[in-house]
Amino acid sequence: MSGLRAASADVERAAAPWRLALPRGLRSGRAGEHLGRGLGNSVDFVDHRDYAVGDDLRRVDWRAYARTDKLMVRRYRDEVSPLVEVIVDLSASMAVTEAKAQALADLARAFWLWSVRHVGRVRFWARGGAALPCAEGGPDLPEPSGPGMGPWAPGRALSPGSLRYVVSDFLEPEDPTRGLRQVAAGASAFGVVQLLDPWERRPTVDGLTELRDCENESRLDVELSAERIAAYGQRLGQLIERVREAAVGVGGALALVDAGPLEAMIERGLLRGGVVQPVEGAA
Amino acid sequence: MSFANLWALWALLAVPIVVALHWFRRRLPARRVAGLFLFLGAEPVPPEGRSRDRLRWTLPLLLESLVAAGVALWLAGPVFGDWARPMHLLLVLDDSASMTAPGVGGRAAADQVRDDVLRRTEVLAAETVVTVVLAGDSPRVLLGPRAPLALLEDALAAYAPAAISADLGAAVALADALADGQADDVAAGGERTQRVLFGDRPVGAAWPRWEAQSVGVAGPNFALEDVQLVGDGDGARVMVAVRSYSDRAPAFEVLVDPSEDAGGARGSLGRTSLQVEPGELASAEIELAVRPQGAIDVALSAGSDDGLAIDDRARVVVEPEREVVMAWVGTAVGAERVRWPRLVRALDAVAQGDRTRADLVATDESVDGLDVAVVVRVGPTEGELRRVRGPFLRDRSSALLDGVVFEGVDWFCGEATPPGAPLLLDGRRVLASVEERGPRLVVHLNLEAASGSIVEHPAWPALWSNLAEAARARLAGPLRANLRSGEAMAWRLDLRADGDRGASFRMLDGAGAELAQAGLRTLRWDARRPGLHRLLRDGREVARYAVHFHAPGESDLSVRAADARPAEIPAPEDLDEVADGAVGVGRGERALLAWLVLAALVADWWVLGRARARRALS
Repeated sequence: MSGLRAASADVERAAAPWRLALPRGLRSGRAGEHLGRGLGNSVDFVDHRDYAVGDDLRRVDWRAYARTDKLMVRRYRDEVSPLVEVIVDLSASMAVTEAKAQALADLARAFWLWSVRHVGRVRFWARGGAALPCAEGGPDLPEPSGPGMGPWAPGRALSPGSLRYVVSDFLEPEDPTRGLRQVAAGASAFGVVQLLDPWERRPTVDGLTELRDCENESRLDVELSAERIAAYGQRLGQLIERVREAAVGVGGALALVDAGPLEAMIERGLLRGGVVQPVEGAA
Repeated sequence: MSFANLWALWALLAVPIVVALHWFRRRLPARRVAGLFLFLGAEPVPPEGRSRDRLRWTLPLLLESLVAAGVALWLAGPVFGDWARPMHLLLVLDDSASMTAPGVGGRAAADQVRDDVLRRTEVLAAETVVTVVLAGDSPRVLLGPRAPLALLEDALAAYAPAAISADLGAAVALADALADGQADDVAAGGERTQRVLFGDRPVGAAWPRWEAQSVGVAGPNFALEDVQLVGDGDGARVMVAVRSYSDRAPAFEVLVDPSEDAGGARGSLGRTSLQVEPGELASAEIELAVRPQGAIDVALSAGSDDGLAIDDRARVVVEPEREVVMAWVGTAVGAERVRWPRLVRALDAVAQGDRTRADLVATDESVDGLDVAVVVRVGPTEGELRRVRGPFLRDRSSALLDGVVFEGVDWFCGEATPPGAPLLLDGRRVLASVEERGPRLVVHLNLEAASGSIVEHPAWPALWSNLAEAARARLAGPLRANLRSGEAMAWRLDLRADGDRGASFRMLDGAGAELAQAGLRTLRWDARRPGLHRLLRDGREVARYAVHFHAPGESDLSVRAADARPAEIPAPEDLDEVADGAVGVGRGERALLAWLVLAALVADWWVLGRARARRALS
């Protein structure tokens, strides 16, 4: 069977001191023990709003109506069963190098570990596609292949109020803002992990080189000089900034991760991006 | 696979050219990247300089090579093997002895031909039929006509050239006749005939319907031209003549051994050294202390300057005694007049006997009732006696007067003409005549022996010697026991009731094969192969014939050559293809190649176009 496989023992050891950084208002606990940021049918009162046709008349605050002569509806905080949904980019670019593919597998398993240990349920989605099966040890990721263009949101609706994360390299010319906005809609928390191969972050001066796009086999003969690499770095920086703005714009955060050992990816990427936080009491 | 136009295969050079173009094309170290668009803005690398790197077997390279090879093969007009049409493979192989001399590659030319033929058949369809004709001094069918291909290898194992000449024209005519005889089958089966002629001489321009392949190599040679074994008292002498076909004059040895000696030529009976000047004939004589009872082998040891082995060895047997018994059946006075007792003593291998066992009888009386092989009547004819003096007019075609000189002879003869064809004449008078009476020869000497000087003249015993030889030639049994290849082994039948009448004769060659017999009074077998032949009468051996190879045309290896020539005009069954412009070529194969080339071109165009489109997109 082909597919990405995480280095199980190493991932468990590296992930153990960390947990997903939950948004304020969510505490770690079993299903039903978390209060969501959204409004719902729990008994935890938040505020009032004007009545609108179709509102449940049982929620009309008659006392407030008596005081203000206005039909007001009481709003309560949602009572949630926390769910983590991870949207994974499985285009060929995510396996452009073995290190990058391995890093993707390790990250996916780490998300799975953090979710089941500290949050509750977890669901993995392929970008713009179907749910990915999860086994005992984590998600079963197929071998990345094909082009990366297209929608970000999965084919089926995401669960309202879930914690959502997107893992991708975002190495495509299209602006990701719209796609990320669709993914983040209705989420209680949203994080973006941009995973890049070290060479993609800092290309080496290799001289005359034939570059082949791993997704569509396009070719380009270039001289990888210092000037050329500087220009590339400038364009890459602009792309990263665009992704960051898109993530922040929908209330999320961007963690920029260089493919490598999981410890390094956590400490230098996910921690800085606010995706994880230390487990209380962990060494 | 065979080709109608071999020269077109030069076009295959286009394949390495295509490979070279791809090889020398600028290539860079490749790297797979995810964000190629981030490098856009880079100018394409200028195509200065060329780098040689490991050749990358890209799809365009393979397709373009396929196109080049396909075009070359299309021009060459291939006929493929197993899936080609069934073929009639018609082969003519030179069966002359020179094919055993070293050819191309140092191996015997016959071995080379055998391998070439089998290599050709490797790609032929299993339904292919084969006809093999051997070109010796007369053509012979080795395999076929139209035998299954599977039988070819076994048939070629029996290909052992030893003929004294190769009549290629006769063999080609026979092979063509065998092929043309199947014309109906050919037309019905859509079958084509491939004609190939193998030899070791320059191919020339003869038989243009035939592809010709020559595998000979010119070289030096020495040959035993003649070998004689002559009894000499209790011993014997071996006389040999050796011919040089070389421009060098190395010294070599002539060795004599018993033929039963399986240890090879060592010279146990005798030996001598010999040197032959280039192109000359040299002779030598070897004395044997004891007259051999059986056959002996005479061998030439000439080393590396000797290209042909078959002409270096001769098997010789002692010629059988063929004594002629002569008898005088006339008057005693007549015998005295012709000096009969002295005459018989003077002749070699002649004995005096009575008329019942005589082979030659002489008389001065009537010849009627004398049932003897040769009868000589000595006496003048009717009419007035007349003296004539030699020389006389004689019939030179007759062997009876060979070497007989009548210069100054006084001959008294009668006036009447004796019966038969005149042998000797003086003016209108016939002095001697000969007539054939069935198997008998009757010679009339119109001579009054009591007068004149003939019986005292040296011509007289010479004449009787010839008559004795004529009688000897009519003796029952073998005429000669030592022969050259190509001559006939003969056995004269004794047609008397207690002789050979009704007997069955079989001649076996050295390998035990029975030879075909011809002749009525004298049975003849062609001595095609050297070696010792045995004649059996009613299953019992009665004579041995030793045949040694002698063929100057084969021993002279200087005219051999390696050459090749394709068939220049199509065979009649291919004429329909001529009309279509596909001489000797399978149209199906060409059409298939054309489609392959077209498909490869389209595929190459599509692959290259797709790559260009991708570049444009990126």
